Amino acid sequence: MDIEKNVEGKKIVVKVSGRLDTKSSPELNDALKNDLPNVSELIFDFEGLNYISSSGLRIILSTQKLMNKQGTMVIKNVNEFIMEVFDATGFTDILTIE
Amino acid sequence: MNVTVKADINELDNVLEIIRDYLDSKSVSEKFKLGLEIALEEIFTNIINYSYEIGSDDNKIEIIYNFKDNPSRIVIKIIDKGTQFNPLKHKDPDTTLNANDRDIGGLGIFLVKKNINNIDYEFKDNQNILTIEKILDF
Repeated sequence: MDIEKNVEGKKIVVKVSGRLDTKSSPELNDALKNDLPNVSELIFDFEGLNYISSSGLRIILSTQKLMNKQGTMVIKNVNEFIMEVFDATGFTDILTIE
Repeated sequence: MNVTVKADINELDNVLEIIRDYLDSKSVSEKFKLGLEIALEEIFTNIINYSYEIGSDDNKIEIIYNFKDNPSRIVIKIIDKGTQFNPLKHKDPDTTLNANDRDIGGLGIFLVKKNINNIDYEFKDNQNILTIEKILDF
C-alpha cells in the first residue's frame, strides 16, 4: 500500500493505492492520526486502491465518525470492486462517494 | 491439495498466492479472486485473534482446497486447533444504521458470507473446521 498526503491549510487529500488489508491498515491509521485533528475537509482518493478488507473499513468508518464532528469527508475514484464492498456493508449510505 | 502454515498474519500472503496459483487453471474473474481473498483474510485474522488468543510458533492453520463439480466450485477447509470458536454465531452488523451509530467492528465474518456461496462450521477432534465454497464464475 502507498499513501500520499497533500495538506493545504485545513484541507487534506489522501491518496491510497494498493491493498488496504489487515497488514497495511495500521499504516493508514498512523498516517492520518497526526493530521486529522487540524482538518475540516478530508478527501480520500482511491483511484489506485484495488482491495479492501474489514480492517480498512474500520478505519474508514472511524474516520467518517470523526469528520462528522469536525467537517467533511469525501471519497473519490472508487473502483467497481471496492464499491461492491461498500454496497454490501451499507457503507455507500454513510459515506460521501464522488 | 493442502498447506499448513503458522497462524501468523505474515503467512497470509503465501496462502493467498497458493490459492491464486491453484485458480490459474480456471479462468475465473479478478472479482472472483478478490472476493475469495477477502473471505480468506477475514477467516485467517479471526483465527489468529480469537481462536489462538496466545501467540505461539506451534499455532498452525491448515488449509485444504479442491475443486468440485455440479456446480463447479472451489471448496476450502480452514482448520485450526485453537479454542472452540464458531464465527457463524456472530450476529451480523446492522448495515442500515448511520455512521455515528454504527459499531466499527463486526464486519469481518459478514464480509466472508457476502463473498462466498456457502459456509459451514464444525468442531471435531478438538479442531475448528470452517468450510467455505465459492462457485466459479468463468
